[in-house]
Amino acid sequence: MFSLLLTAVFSMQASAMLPQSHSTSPATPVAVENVVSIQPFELEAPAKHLWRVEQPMVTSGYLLVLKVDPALVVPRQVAEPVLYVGHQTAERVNVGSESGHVIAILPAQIDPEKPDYLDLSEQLFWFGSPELPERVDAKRIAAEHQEAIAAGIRPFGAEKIATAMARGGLVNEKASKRDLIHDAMRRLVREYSPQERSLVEGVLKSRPAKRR
Amino acid sequence: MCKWFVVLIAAAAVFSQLSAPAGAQLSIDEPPPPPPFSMYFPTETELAGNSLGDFPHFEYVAAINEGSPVTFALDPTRFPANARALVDLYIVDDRSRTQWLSDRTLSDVRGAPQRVRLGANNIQSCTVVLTNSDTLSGDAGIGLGVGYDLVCDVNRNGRLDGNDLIDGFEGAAGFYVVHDLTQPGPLAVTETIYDVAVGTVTGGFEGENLFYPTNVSLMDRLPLIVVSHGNGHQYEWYDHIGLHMASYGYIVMSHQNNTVPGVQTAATTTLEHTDAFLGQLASIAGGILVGHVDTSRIVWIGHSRGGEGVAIAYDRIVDGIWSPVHYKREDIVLISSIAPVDFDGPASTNPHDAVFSLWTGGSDNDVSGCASADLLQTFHLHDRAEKWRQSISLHGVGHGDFHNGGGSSVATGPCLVGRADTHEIMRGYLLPLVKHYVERNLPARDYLWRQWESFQPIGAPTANPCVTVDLMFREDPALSFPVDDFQTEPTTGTSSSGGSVTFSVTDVSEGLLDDGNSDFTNDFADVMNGMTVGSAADTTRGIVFSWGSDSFYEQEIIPAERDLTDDVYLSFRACQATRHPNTIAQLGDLTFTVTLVDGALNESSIRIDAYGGGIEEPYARSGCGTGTGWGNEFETIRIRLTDFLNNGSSLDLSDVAAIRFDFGPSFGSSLGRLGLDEITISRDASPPLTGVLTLALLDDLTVIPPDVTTDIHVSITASSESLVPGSATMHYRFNGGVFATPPLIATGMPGEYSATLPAPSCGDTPEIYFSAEGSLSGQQTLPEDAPSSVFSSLVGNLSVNFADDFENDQGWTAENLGATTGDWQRGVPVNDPGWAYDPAADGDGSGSCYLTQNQVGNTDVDNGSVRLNSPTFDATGDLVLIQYFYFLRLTNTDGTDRLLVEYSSNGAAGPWTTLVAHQTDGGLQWRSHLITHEDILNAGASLSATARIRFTANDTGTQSIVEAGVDGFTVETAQCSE
Repeated sequence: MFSLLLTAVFSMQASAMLPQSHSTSPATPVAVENVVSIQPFELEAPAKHLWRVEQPMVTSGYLLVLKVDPALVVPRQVAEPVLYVGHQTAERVNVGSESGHVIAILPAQIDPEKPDYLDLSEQLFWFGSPELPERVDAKRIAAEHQEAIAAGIRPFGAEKIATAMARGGLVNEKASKRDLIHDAMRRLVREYSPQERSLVEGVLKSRPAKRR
Repeated sequence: MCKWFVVLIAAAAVFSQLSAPAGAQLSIDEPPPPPPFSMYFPTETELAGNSLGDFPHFEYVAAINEGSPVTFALDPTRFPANARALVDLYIVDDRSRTQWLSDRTLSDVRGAPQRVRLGANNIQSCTVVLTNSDTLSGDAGIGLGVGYDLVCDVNRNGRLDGNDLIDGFEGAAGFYVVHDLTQPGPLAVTETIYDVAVGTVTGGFEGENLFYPTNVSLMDRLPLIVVSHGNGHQYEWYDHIGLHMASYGYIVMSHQNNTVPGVQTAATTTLEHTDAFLGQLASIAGGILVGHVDTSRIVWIGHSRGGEGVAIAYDRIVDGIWSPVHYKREDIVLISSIAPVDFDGPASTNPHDAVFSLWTGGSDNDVSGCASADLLQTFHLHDRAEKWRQSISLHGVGHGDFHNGGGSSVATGPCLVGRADTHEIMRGYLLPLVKHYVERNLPARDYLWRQWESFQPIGAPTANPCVTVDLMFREDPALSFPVDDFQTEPTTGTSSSGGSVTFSVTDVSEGLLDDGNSDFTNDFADVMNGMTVGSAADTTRGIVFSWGSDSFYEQEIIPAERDLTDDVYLSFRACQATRHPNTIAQLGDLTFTVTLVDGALNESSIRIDAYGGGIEEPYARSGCGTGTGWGNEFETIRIRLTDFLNNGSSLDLSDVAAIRFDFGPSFGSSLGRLGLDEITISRDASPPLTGVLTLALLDDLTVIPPDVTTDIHVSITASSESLVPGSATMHYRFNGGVFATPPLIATGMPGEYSATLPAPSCGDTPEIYFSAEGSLSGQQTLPEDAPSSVFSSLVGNLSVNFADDFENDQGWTAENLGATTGDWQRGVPVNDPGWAYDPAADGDGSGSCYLTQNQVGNTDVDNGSVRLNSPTFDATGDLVLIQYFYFLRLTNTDGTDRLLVEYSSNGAAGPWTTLVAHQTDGGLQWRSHLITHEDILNAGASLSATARIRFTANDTGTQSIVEAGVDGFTVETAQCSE
């Protein structure tokens, strides 16, 4: 028993000393584990969605809190798995590799009365194959979508989405994309990914200026 | 030995006819001091450096680390007049040439000179460690290196005169003592974090982290360093750069970088933030930086995705896709990429003509350098840089070691260096890197190429056995002579410069420096195994070969380039081939011998490890296939050409016929496999500098009228420094001899100065140059390399014989030689908005010009040639100048398509002589060209009163775009009569 325990402890230490593998990421497609919170948003000033080739202008969408496999979002300089929701790429606001929570901005029509309304209960949430989002276009998204379906990834369903939307709250109206990101940092990253305090402080300039 | 005897006898014969100076003490064992005849200038030569154990036994250097002794050496076989001389050696505070000429008094900073008797046999016998030189101060304030001149006072009269030798007369100091570059500079630094205005950069990425000297309001304009972080990194993770560089007088701004979408978005944020910062200075840090940022000297540093982003950003400016508001392309004086990815390849990720530096970590577990993917290979960016480029590779350093955000080093492999020591190395190398390329600091250059094994910044972590540093350094190839860069002439028997190549080394292959498969596993079929400086889309080429016994690889130097007396270094880069059996068997620094052979077959050889270190073995990292050893790391070796002359080698540097590399047990490592590239004869040029004092000539000195004085005007722009009062000088001479030096006097017009040239006579050959001193940069000259280059004038009266702006028909004729489209037509350019290859306007501003088919649509030259013939003009005189503007848009620049310019001295009948073939693409710009009488005569034609020119544009072979134009054609001639 003692030797087994010793072996286990040694294995853990050895594991902790192993270099973090950055050049490889988990196999994709792989589903988002859970949708924790969804909040619709609207922007006064349209902003470009830089996370796909077409760079559409964004005036509304959803601010998402997603539970993910942390290994999928370890920051890499090489291509990373791309986060998709439906037929759109999602913009990640934080890193999430320690907390396993990714806060993301999903451009979408949020008005149910509009014909292009995006019903999240019918959408897939998944990580597709590694790529730079700026190089992903509609054709690539469609292909990734097909692969996700083939891999058995399914929508979360109305109940789960409704719960997440209830947690997210009413429409978040912001003047600009910057304000939206700062709001996401201030509230959501602090709550769901508190390990990223340094990132939040840097973005919000909440660290006191230094003099040396 | 006999040779020196003859020299001594000859010297004695001269001395016997001259009287000894008053008070001189002569003795039989002490040769008399040289006679007191006063030649105006001393002899300038290298004197300061370090002694070496093996031939060439001494290295002359620019930088000496503070606390290290300075050693004097003079080769008596090169300076036989000084053999056995009793001399006084002075270390003197650096003086400019002007200062030396105004004060020749020698004053040793050590309190007294050092009297020594030189030997006679070899350089070792004339090598002297300078006493107390290890106490010389290297405290240069915010500068790098305290300059000293080293004087060998041959006649021991305490004055610098024509008998003496000096290291540090023209321009640079003889040597520089350099302090610990890893330590902060003398300036207090203020750091602040803020947002630039919303809407001026990508939304949500407004943050900037700024470092500046606290007393910046009292300082001149300071260069700006912009830092663009990598993916998952933060803009506040570069304090080690910001604090260090700001303490030396730089403004450092690190910004939020939009890296997660990709490298293009990262490039956008770099471009946006550079402009936002410069445009919003009034609202940043209370406006303290207003008037203190030098927008003409900007450095971009990018890490990982940000490292690719800065190259893309520059490419966008080059391509005209992005137009900065507050700075220009040429203001980006250095791009430095730290562990960059290469997602977008040479079409987009391209530093082009920018000065480029690269940092690579051998243990990087993210941008790993493995052959499995192009985007992992940092060196691509380096090899795409067209001009100056430099690289530093650090074994055992991980991706995360380059920032100070804490967390993982993102490293794998043996003997990891760690973040703290990596930062010491970064501080110690970043400072000279920036100092050299931003300020043209000369001692800084030594740190960029001298082998780590023998020279490194004082505070570098040499006690850490894991630290291994490999350096690559290349000057602008246009300013040197590439003996073989392997970019052309793909056969192994001919160099790219056209010389023959012979060898007995084995397994020789020339080709793209790109691993042929996706791993580093040794594979004899993959001849470029381990090479990662190019991708399949790149063009960088080199050669690889092996040896297991004594063998050679020899490059002929073509006859036109054999005079190396004006050159400084033989330079090449080399690497070991990873996981090759020879590399594994050697497993250490690879050494070999380099030999110069002159036309009389005299030889001189130097083993590369004479200077310390050889070609480093690959980092012992496993993965990326089977076996151990990471990618092939090129290192640059530079050998001073005059080192080959030491100890009476008899080599004639004015006629070097071949460079031979000797390998094998008799010459170095007994076996090995080597990659070799960039075999170059270098002039040790520096990149052009922005932000420092510049001189520009306002008058045309091509022809100067006889028998009258001529006022010559120069503009002096002080830029970010100030003009040293009284230093502006014109230098002239009419028929060789000593230059006269009248001062340049301010004319009252802003920045304008003038001096009067006395009246020349017919037959005089005036030579003129100008000089002025900047408060920071020291003496600047016009031409830049004066007095080696000067303005040479012809004395005479210039007249225009023929001029045509093509507003009227003066008799030019168009001719079709089989082309299906593109006939020459005279008129105002149609500037077709639907055709991207035609000019917007004419070349000389008059309105009309000649163009190839000046019509809308696809109207370039196709399937043949079109010719434009001039009318007859008079091209006789002492001087003939034919000038014209030309437009040439080419999409095929391999030399097949071109605009050919031919000359006939016999009217339309010919024969026609080719004067020039324009075959480079000029984009949408008009360019000018000048043909002189010398060009005509050198081409074998004669000057004539019935001369003609013809322009022929052709599209041959595979069809491509050929659009050509001619405008502003003038013929001027000059005669002289008293």
